[in-house]
Amino acid sequence: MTKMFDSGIDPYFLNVLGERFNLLDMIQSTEFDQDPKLLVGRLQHTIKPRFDNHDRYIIVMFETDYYWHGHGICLNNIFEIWRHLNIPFYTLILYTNNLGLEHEVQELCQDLHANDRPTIIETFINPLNYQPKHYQDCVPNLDHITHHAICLMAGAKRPHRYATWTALKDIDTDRLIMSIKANAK
Amino acid sequence: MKLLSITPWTRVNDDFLDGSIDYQEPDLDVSHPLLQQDCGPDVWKTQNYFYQHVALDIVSESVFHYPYPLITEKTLRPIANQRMFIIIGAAGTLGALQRKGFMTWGDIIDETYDTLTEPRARFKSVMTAIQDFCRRDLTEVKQYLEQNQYRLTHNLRNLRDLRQRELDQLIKKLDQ
Repeated sequence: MTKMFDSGIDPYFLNVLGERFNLLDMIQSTEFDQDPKLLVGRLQHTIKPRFDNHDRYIIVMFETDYYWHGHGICLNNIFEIWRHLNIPFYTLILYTNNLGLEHEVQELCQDLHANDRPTIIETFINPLNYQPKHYQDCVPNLDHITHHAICLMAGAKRPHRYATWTALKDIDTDRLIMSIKANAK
Repeated sequence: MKLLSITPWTRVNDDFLDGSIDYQEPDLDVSHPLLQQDCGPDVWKTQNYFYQHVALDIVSESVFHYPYPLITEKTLRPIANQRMFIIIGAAGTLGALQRKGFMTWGDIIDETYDTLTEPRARFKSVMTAIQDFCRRDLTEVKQYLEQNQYRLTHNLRNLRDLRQRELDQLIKKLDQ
């Protein structure tokens, strides 16, 4: 049952959910965050006139949402679509590394019956982040420390990374190892 | 149906910078010579070669001005490599790690920054914490780490065991 889905959720979590629920679909927020109508189209493949108590959709939110006046736009779109398609909210499982999303969801669910609310799983464990085969028990090697710190900023172009680089660039390179990726000009 | 779209979708909320924080975009990729020589292909592996040269990882997380802690592989990297960390990320990130059983470094690094929700104040506070740490005598830092090796080991084991703990919690929640 659980093999039909692509990665995005840790396989152990997926097995626990697959053992308890009839998983109708698993959708990553990045598949529709720029065009929420894609989620509508996706749900229409599996929507039922009447859902079973064990039916569930998993939405994986391992990306940042865009906040506008204190509301996450992607999250609000999910709720708006669920309401528009008249899908019970108990069918929704949000699997997310936004550690605090449950509080925001509770605010959006105030008008819902206690038995018709989404399940929120807040964790930073997913197949990309979590590599337990590498977490071998060994004594920390402290003998070769030659520098105080390292700062790797080779990810996406973000203002906080450039501000960090600006603030720290004058620290002696014998103390701080720094790397930042910029757009070539 | 009132769907909201933003084009282009930026996935960031980093509009916190103002004139009070200096901000320059580097012209070219900047990389320390040690990284160019020694950076192995697998930064996940414990005791990765370049991590052995440093005491602390300054983690630049995916988001800074954001309503929740958002923890990615960037934060897990120093834990897997048994090193201390400072996190340039959303307020409360260290608190979230502590609630998941990780030990942080508040007795050698001023971690006040994690409690500051105002982004400019938090940014200045975390930069001060980094600069203060880098001014310390390296011998003193190494002595501190030797005395606190157990914390590095604890964090690695906590990371290794975290999935099973979270699965147990999830099963308990679902079976209620």
